[in-house]
Amino acid sequence: MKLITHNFLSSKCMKGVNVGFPLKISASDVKVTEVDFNPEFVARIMQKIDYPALYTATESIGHLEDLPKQMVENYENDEHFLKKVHHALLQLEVINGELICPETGRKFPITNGIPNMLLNEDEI
Amino acid sequence: MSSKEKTARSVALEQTYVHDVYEQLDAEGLHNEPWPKVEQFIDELEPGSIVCDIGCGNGKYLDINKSIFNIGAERSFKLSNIAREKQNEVIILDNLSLPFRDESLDAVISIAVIHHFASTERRVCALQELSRVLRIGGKLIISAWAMEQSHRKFETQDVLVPWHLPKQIKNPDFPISKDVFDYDVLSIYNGSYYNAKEESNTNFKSQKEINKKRNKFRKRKSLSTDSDSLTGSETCYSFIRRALQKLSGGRRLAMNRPWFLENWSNCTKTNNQKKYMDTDVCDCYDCIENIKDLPIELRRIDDFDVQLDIKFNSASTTTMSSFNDVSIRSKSVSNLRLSETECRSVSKQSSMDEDVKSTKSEDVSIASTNSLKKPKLVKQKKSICEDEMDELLDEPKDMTSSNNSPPEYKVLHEKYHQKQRKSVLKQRSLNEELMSTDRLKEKEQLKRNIQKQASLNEEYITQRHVFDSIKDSIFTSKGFHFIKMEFTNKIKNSTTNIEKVAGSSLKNGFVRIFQNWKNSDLISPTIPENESMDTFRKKLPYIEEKPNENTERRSSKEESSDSSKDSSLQSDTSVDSEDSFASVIYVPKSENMSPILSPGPISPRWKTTTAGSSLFSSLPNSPKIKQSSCPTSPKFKQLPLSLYPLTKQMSNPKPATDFHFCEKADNEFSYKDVAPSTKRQLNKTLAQKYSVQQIPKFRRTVNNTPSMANQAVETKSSTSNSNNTTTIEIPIITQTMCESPEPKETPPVDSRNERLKKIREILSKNPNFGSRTKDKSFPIVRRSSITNGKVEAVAKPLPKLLNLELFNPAVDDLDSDSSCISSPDSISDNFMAINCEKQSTIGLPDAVYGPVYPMKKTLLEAAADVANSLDQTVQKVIKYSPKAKRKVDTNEVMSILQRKYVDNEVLSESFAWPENWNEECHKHLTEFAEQISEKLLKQIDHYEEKNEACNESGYSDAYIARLSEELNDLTKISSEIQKQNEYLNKLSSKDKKLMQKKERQKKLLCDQCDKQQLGSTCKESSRLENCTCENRSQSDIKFKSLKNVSSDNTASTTPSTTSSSATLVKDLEMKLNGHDNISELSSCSSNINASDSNGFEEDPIPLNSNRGPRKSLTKNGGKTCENTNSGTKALSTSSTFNKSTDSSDSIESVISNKTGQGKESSEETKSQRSLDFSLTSNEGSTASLASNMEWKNIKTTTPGGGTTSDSKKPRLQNTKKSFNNSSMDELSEKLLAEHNNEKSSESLDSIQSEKNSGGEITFHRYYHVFREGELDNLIEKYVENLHIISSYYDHSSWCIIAEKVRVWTI
Repeated sequence: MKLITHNFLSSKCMKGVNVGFPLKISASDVKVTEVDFNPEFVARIMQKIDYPALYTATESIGHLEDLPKQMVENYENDEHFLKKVHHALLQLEVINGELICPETGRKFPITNGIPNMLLNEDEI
Repeated sequence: MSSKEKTARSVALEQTYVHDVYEQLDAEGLHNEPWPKVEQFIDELEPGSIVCDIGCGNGKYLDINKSIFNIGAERSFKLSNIAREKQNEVIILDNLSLPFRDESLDAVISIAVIHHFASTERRVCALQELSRVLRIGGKLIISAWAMEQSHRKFETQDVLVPWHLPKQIKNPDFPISKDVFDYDVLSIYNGSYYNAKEESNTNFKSQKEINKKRNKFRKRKSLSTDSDSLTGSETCYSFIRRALQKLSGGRRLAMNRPWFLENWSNCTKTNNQKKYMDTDVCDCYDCIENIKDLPIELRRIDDFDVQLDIKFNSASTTTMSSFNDVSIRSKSVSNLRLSETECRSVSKQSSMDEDVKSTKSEDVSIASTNSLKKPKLVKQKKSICEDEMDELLDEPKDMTSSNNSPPEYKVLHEKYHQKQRKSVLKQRSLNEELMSTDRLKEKEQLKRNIQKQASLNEEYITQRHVFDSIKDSIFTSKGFHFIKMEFTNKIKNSTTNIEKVAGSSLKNGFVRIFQNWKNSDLISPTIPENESMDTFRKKLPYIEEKPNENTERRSSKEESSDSSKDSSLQSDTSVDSEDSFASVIYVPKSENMSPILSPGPISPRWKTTTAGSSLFSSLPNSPKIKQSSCPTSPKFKQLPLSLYPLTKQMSNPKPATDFHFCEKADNEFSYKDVAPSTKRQLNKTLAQKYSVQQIPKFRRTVNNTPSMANQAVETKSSTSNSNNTTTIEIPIITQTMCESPEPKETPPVDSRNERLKKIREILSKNPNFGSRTKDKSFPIVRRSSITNGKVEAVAKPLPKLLNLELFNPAVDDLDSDSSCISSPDSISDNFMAINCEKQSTIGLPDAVYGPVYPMKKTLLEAAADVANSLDQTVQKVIKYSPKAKRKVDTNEVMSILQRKYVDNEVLSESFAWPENWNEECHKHLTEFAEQISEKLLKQIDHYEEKNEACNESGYSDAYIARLSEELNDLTKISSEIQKQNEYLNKLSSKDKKLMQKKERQKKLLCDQCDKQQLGSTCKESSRLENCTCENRSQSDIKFKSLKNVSSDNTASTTPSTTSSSATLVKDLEMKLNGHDNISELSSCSSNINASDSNGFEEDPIPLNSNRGPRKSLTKNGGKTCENTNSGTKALSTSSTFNKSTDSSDSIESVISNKTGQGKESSEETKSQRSLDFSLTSNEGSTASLASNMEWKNIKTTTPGGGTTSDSKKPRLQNTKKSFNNSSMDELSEKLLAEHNNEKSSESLDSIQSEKNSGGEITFHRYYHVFREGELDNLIEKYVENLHIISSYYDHSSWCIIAEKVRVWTI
């Protein structure tokens, strides 16, 4: 699971969860994969990203590296920043670990890079 | 129905038919080619879009557009992993609870997902979720299967679509799909689909259903083929009935509302629906090509406003997608109007058909138009419908137990015919709304009839009291003799020309004979003569079933009739009218019931009647025979145990009575009274009689034979050739061969003779009788039988006796038990009976022939030859006879030999009696007897010589060397065995009990080997095992050298046995010594016995040796199998052997102990075998007694063949060789069969094996196919913020591209 995916994940559909975002990450295995850097793509994605969530997620998995805590102004032209974001969003991959609902503490296991977001019948 | 239930059902359905299916399919199962329009949709997305493909499958849409970020979402773990392997970002999620932020995604792809939701509610929920996660302005593409597809038509929107592989989907040939279809339907109906989380489980279940389904299929086919001239109301009815029963049962479990009942009740009304059906049906004809991959239609699974309900209509249930069904429906539609109008005017059959169809069509129509109905209305109907339902369900039962015909017991067949008709009427009436009144009446009638029947039996019996004796005498004698004659002729032919006989099975011969007899004797006018053959043939299965039923005769018949109406009809008549020979054949089994019904009245009655005359004293025996035989057989089939001891005792006393019968007529009664006495006494008496009085018995018979001779002459008379007379005796021999009731036969004959006498006395006035007696021509006999027809009505009980004696062989084939039953009279039989009872069917037939065989060796051989050419089953029976040799008591061998001669003498004497009647006959008889005696002598001499030669040559045989080697290696083997034990323990940890047993046995064996000291039980078990080994080796050797075997065994085994026997238990020693002595003293037979006994004694060594290496190495599964199998046989043989020895010693207690031991040992061996199986994994459980029995038979036959090979005639030898060969072949076959059986049995347990053997599994996926515009409507109605941009049809799916828009609510 890449952090970009995590950035869209929510446990909102759970019963009793209002926001369910962002999910906490408890990563036991993080993999860094090389992904071609496309600044335009990253810039476009950045529009849809919840940056604080990304920051915390990156921080939680220990690959914060020097990702700025605050989103840079005019990031479209800041290739350095975009590269960092690119790394955080697309190159960091949680292979094994857990996603934890911030409200209920419900844990969603991540195995083989696939988060299992299935809920039980009584959790919906 | 609450929403909870609905959702639960939906969830279950989806889980079973969507999620689980996808979980089990591999990537190949998915259509791999992305749809161009979807590709286009993806390509047109803005770069940098976050796109989630919900239901991404194997991820084929995840890498289309590189400029967007694709998130694949899938519910299937398997598929998600597949997609993940392609370096895609994958999430496992459920469309109903998408774990995404609101309005976070730029595009959502939902291809072929929505149609998997089982309810509109859930579909809407899914759509709403899709919309929720979509950002404003985000685009959504949805595709769902269309109901209107070019290559397939869906009757309903909710379907289960079979899914092999994508290629095969359009392939019309789906071998399994049909069955699975049916299964699926059924499972759903039974509510099992809730539990059927795994396809495999469901498949397992399907296996059971398949047969029924296929039957239905066939029926339906027939219906469809000649739909224009449908006359099979019964088939139609039964089909419907079954379907209804199943559905109703399932319905009640799974669903609250009996859906089809409403339909049922609506039958008369709905014309609109019929019209609808017309349109619907027309299409179905075009579907022929696609029949097999037509989906299962789930009717009313989702009534949008009404309720969530999985519904199948009856028609669709049974064959959902089958063309036949369709045709039926169509036909019904076409005939609907007609049916309504004609229903009452036209013949009932047609109306029946029409009704059925109409109902079906109603179901269909209703189901298809389900949405139109409102739930409340349905529910109102429900109550009424349920009542009807119950009635309907009850109907069949009533019919089964109903006997509406006027109860005239004597015309049973008529009655049954009527009953049959009645049932038919009922069936017809079912569909008409005949109901409570008629039904009540019918029920009452039925009750009355049943009672009448019950009472009738008694009445029948009592009324016949007077006639019974006469009848018995006449019929038994007549039929008996007639059969004998036929039999003898057959035998002659066979002996002289085996090839001729070979073509026709023994059974056929029997049948023919019986037919002749029946035709000749056919008395009851009610029974058509032409019936005989057909009835007979049809009877066979029917009667086979009978033994299992201890219930009343009536009920069984009714059941059978119900099950198979045509056959049962005829069979019933034939059975009831015992006149027909066919009925005679089966009677033994039917008798099982009759004695139960009226055992008390008959025997006492006869006693009273016969009390005056000593001659009749024998009569009580015959009923006893019946009883004994009957209970014994049922016992094996687990009849009430209470009968069991009684039967034993009964059987025992009988021979005694026979023997003493001439001496003291009163003694018989005493014996009867004594019958309840303990086994020991009986055994004692038996033993005494056996050893001492055997000869006198025959003399007695001679004395009595006058009557017999009279009978013979009277009935058969005429021909009076020595051959004929001899044949009379020969049949007995042959029978003994087949059945082993030889000794038994003679006594009944005697009794019959006596009866005859009495009858003559009483009925001398009867002209017919006189003419009959004096008629010497064969045809005259028939006439006489016909004349008997007057008395005929009484005839029943006696023919039964005949049946028991004569036809047991045939029956024996079917039931090994019956053989034991049939031969309670013979001493050996007595022993055997005990054995059988204790061993439970293992050793039954072996000992039976013991005494008989030596007496009529030549005859036996000839018979054996005949048997060789006969059917397998017959062969088995006959095979026992050669084995009998072994079982003859060594002590008694001499006596037996004497008896032989005596027998011959007796024969001559008995035949001499006829002198008065016919001197020629007497001449022939004497000549024949002399010839026989000469032959016997020759044979004996020959045999002795051969044995000697064999003994001499035997020592040089390699086999002996091997044995000695094995002996030397004994210690090694024991150690190996210990190792094996450990190994076994490890391996067979599953069955701890078995293991323990095994261990015990093993230890025992080890002790044996090491110490050579055996506890009695220990020795027994070892013996058994050894026997296995021994037999095995014997068989092998025999295959190599036919004749040397026995001698070799004796030679090789004797020394070892003697040495080892020193430390053996007293009894065992005694046995051994006796055997050795006997072997030394006596010639052929004794040698055989000794060899056997020695083999048994010596067994431990070779067995251990063989077993150890084999097990440890697990080299030859087949060999182990053989060993194990032979072990069972050895068990029987050993037990019998023990018995014989004991009897010779006349130690009753020993016998009981031995038997008990034998039993234990058998159990142990069984356990061992099972262990072996676990070890080698080649063999299955010991459960298959039949196979074991067969094995035993084979084994026995092989040695028997070897022994019998001594026969004088080269031709015979050849035949025997062939026999051996055949037996070898049989052995191999049996091995294979056993393997297969075990495999199958195992496969039943494990699904995987089933998969392997059963072939490909067809998965079914649930689809809700969307009508045109349905999806659009859903979106527009329930997902307000989705704006449909375009809607189109593509790839059999309705596709919608929508955009999320902001909805302003004011």
